[in-house]
Amino acid sequence: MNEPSGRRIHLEIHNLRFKRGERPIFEGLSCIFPRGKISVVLGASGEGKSTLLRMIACLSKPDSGEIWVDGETELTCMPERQAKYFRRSIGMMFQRGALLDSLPVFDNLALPLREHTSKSEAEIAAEIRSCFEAVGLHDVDELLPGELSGGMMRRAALARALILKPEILLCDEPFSGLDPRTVRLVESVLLEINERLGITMIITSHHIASTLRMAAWTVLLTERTALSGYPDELYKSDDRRIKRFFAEDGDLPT
Amino acid sequence: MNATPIQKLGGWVVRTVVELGRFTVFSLQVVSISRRLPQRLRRLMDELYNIGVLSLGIVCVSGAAVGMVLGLQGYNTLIRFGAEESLGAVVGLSLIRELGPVLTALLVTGRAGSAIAAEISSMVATQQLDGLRMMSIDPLDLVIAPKSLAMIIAMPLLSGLFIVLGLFGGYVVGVLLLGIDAGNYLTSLESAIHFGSDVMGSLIKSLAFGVLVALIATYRGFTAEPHSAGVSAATTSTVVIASVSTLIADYFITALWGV
Repeated sequence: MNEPSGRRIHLEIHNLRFKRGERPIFEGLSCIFPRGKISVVLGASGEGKSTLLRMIACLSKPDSGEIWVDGETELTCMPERQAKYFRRSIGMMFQRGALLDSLPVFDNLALPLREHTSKSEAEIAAEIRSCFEAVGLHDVDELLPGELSGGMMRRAALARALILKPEILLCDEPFSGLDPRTVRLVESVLLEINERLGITMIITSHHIASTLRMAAWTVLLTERTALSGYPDELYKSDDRRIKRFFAEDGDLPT
Repeated sequence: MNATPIQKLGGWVVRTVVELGRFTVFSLQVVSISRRLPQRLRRLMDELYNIGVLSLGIVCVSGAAVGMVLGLQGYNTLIRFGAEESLGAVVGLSLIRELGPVLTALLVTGRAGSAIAAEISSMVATQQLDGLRMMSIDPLDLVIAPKSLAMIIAMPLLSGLFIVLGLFGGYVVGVLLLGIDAGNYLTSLESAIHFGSDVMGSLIKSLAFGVLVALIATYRGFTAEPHSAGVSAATTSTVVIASVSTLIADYFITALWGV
């Protein structure tokens, strides 16, 4: 398949191997993620989609293999102290939000700004407003995360992931458990952010229909390795693993 | 393959040593990150409220009840030897040297230690700590260190309160109910207690228990498995391990330093 090359590649993964207990999750997984595009990582449950995101975020380490950013920074050997600073350039939207449930939504977003910048409270408030606007959230400042609906929670989590202006945005299953209308809403927010900010987005999903609508690049995790390509190429591929994966979803466009 | 009893024992020893090693590293990390606590005063105050102020009720009631029982039991025993006027000394020494620090540690473990473990482990289960890491915020710095220090500060204060309420409980039973002379109760209490050895020793004990309970509760929460069974296991094991460790540490502190 026709792959992006050179400066167009933001993240490059080589020969990743990882076992959870005795169970192998990755056995020589290699793939790339293009710069400034939306890449969707597809795969059945248990194929290691979230694990791959955690490795890119330096929250987990593989047993072996390499993850390169810009062809310059290798993540798997990075010590925690360095990883802590590197993570400022990565935003992560967790599957269940992972907002601090004891703080109102506003303070959840303000926390990283208060920790890492010397901005005044007025500047912090203005930045949070613009983030809320970008994800289409209103009147949630004083609400606790537990008081948000599923779609609002995803958007609040997305706003927090964006607050430090990351270069890479990781979204772990942003559509799972949402109704079709909210899926479309979250999808449009992600597309708009990608268009406006041009950040590299890596989204894990098993939602094939939305993947085909929004992905510029697709990585399919199957049989402990990865198959990647442009979405339509992958969808039309004759590879039996790809065909089997797409055939299992009854909710596909015809 | 079935392991022999010797292999099982070996496996248990290795696991225990590894766990102790991890606990030591965790404790050193908490100590080293505590230098940032001046910037976390607000969080420290919140935790002092959660751990200290919210434990006041149980500590006061228990202290008074234990003092009253000690007064009653002490009186019934001392009267056999015609020494009931020494009730103040018996109640005071028992409470200050032993019961105050130990029972406070057990009560605080049950009320606040378990709450700390449950809160941190549910943050693990809902990926809140990973969320902090993704914002380049160290959970040890923001969550663990303020809770640990608050527990270490609150424990001696609560223990002191337990002792005061216990002495008062003993006074109520001995003087007001059983008719011992108030002057005798207070004089025997005053002459039996030495500030340097008894009161300071009590303070050191409760400080040591505070450190133990704080580190065990935060460690069990921090290393919990990320699911609801992990939360319950972390909470239960905190109460069990911290209570047993308190009693064992109490023996060694008493045996080695005569406190």
